[in-house]
Amino acid sequence: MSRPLRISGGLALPRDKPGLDRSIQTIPLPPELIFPLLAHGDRALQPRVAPGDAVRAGDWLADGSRASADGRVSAIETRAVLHPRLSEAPCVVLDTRSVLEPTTTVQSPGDPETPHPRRARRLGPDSPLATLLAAGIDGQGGAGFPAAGKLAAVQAHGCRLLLINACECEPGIACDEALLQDEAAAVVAAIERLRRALQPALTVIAIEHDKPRALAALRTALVACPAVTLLLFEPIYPSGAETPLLTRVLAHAGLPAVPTGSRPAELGLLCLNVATAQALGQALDGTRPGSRIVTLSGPDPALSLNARVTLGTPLRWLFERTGHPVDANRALRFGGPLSGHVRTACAHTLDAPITITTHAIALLPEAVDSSLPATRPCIRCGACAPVCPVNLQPQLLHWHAGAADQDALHRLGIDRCLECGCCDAVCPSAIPLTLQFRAARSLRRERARRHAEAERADTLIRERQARLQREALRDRSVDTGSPAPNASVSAALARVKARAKRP
Amino acid sequence: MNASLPGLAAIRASLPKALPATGPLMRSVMWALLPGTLLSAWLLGVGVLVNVGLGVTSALIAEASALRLRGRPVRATLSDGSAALAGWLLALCVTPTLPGWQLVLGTSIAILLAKHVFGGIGHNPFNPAMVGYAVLLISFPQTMNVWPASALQPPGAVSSVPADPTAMADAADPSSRWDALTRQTPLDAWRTTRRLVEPDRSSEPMTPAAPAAPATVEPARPPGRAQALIALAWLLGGTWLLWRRTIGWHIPVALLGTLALCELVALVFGATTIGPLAALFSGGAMLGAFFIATDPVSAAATVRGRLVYAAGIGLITFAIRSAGGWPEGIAFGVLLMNGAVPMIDRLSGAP
Repeated sequence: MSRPLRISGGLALPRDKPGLDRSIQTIPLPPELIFPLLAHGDRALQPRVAPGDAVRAGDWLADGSRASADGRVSAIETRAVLHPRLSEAPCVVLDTRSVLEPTTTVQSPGDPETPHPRRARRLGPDSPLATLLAAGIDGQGGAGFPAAGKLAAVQAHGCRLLLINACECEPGIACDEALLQDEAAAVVAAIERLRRALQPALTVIAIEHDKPRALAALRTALVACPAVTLLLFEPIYPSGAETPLLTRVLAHAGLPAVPTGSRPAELGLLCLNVATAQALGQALDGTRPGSRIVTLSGPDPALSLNARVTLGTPLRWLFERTGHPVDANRALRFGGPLSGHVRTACAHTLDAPITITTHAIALLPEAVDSSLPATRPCIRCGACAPVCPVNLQPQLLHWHAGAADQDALHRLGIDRCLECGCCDAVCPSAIPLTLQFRAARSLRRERARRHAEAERADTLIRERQARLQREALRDRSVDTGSPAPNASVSAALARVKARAKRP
Repeated sequence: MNASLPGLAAIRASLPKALPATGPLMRSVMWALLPGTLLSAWLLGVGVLVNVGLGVTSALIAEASALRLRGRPVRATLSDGSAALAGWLLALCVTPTLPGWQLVLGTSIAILLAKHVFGGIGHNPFNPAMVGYAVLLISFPQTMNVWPASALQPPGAVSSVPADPTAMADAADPSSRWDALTRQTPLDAWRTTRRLVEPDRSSEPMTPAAPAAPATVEPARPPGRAQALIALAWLLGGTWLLWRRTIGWHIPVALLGTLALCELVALVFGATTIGPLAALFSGGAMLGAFFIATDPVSAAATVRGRLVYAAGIGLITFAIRSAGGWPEGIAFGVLLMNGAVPMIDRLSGAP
């Protein structure tokens, strides 16, 4: 094996992978499952079910959200959600205790009526890609990007590279590593099925070399699949982020880099999280896993474990089933210490459900001081620039974000920021750079939205004025041409009379 | 959304390459300045220490009053050491014989006008110490250009090195010590020499040791021994900062490299020059390259930009030294390139 690859920039962080000394624990089905009607990018979903409907596991609750177990819809209402910016959202609530009769399904799994009927029809019903597109599987990386979006783009351009991302670089997150330790054979079998369906020119699994057990299991399973290349990476955060990983893999394979502004999938480069790839491979077999692995950690070492949790399971149930009920006012961190978000474990938060993006939950030792840290002014020392995995200049972005100079921010490439938090970690002045960039980007998006709205309103007004002008012209011509000013009215009345006389 | 995630502090602490915060950073720069300062005091007189004390004190007072006026936390900001460092650097740049009130005026201008008017630390576009120096140099050319004779000649070497041209006056007549005050640094001595020598032999190649120079003027020679020793002390302090990763190598290497390269090219093309090595060890080249141009606030922010910025300082220094009206060009080089930083950042910042 050649030397491990290293992404550009990034940080070597201490290895902190909870619960890898034991196997994955399966959490039993809770009495109530909750499915937020939110998709990637905070897009609201329209429910396809109504309270009282019986649904089977795999049925569509909304376009882009499937039920993870059998049950009856008990309500569609606002519930608490785990989200970096929202505390609650409309949700479909499923009662799993009600026993379904065999015939009460509204749709059967694999129903041709799917969210992407047009794409499916073009491919033909038997195409494996149609099956994958119809499966509606969301990415199990941090972003929850719908895999169908990537697949559709890849399908249109042909798959050149299938990159399975098994890099899990942030401390406190170990779900993918646990999956490979326990189920490497199943994962590789699923990847192999996916590879046969997509026919990529090159299939690569990327993984860091500091995961000995997962790597051994993966190597053993890969013996049967010579077409799949294993690429080792240095354990550098954020290797698991798609952009730096893909850039490095492309450079290694001698393929051209992704130009700025294009999406990798449009170039036939498909990058999938390892658990997502497994889910897609299983979807080709007709099974639809309604669960994911969640890494739990806390001050009590007994709470360091990886659990397979049915999607929609409330947090409270998860903690109770693992034997660690959480008292209120403890703080919970969702995700890792660099890219995650923190919530107080109040009753409200504990009612929120696990979603496809919940990869790690850490119970923190004490309540969190939510005040901003004491920062000092930026002295432009430049420590942030070499650690940026996408080669941005955070110190310049900081300067222009403070001045809200949108043109400069765009020129400096703020849209490429991964929000990985490497610059925050090294800033000697403790400036929350990522937070500032996130705010600047949302301001930027908001401005773009308002601009589009204003453009639309402007177009409408112009069209209305043009129409009024046309009407005024026509009225004037009517005025000059007709003998009486109310000629049109009398003509209409005459027509009505004529119709009334008719038998 | 929480600004600082729990666990981030632990990650911060675990990073071996992390830069120190502003306070520790400025303090290690001051530690690196100490040997050179003490050597200067030994070679040039106790006036250096008096100046440093005066410069640091007046800078701290100016900073404290500016912070109070602006309603900013005084103690926290004072302790970052940036004002004290600016005062220290300015005191090292001026002659030990400068009247105290002029130095106090210089540091006050550096802190109040060059730093706080622009918004305090992190916001000053120009290097405060160099602004103070430039104001003093232009306002008080007579007192600023007077150096003690010992600046040209180390004590204890007076009689043993009579050939040192810069020690000429002293060696001839120790009682005329004060006459030497007007002919200050070796760079200036060299410049005067060149002015006198050049008109005669403008058409043909010249070497610095041109024997046809007028008898009254010695040909240019390597810099005064004291100045070279002090420059060596700055080099050592700067190397320590490089080793500690307090500063990056880009600025000192690009600055000194450009300066030496320009001198070398001039030498090769036969111009009157003091030579690359002498150029590095005379004037403020070492102090400027390691301690002044490396001020991160007023330097370019990107790595590429820093190389351009420092090379620009080297080029301007060479130009001023060989063709300008001042004996030393580091200060103006730094200030001019400070002015170019926004453009350099703009051109070098896009990914």
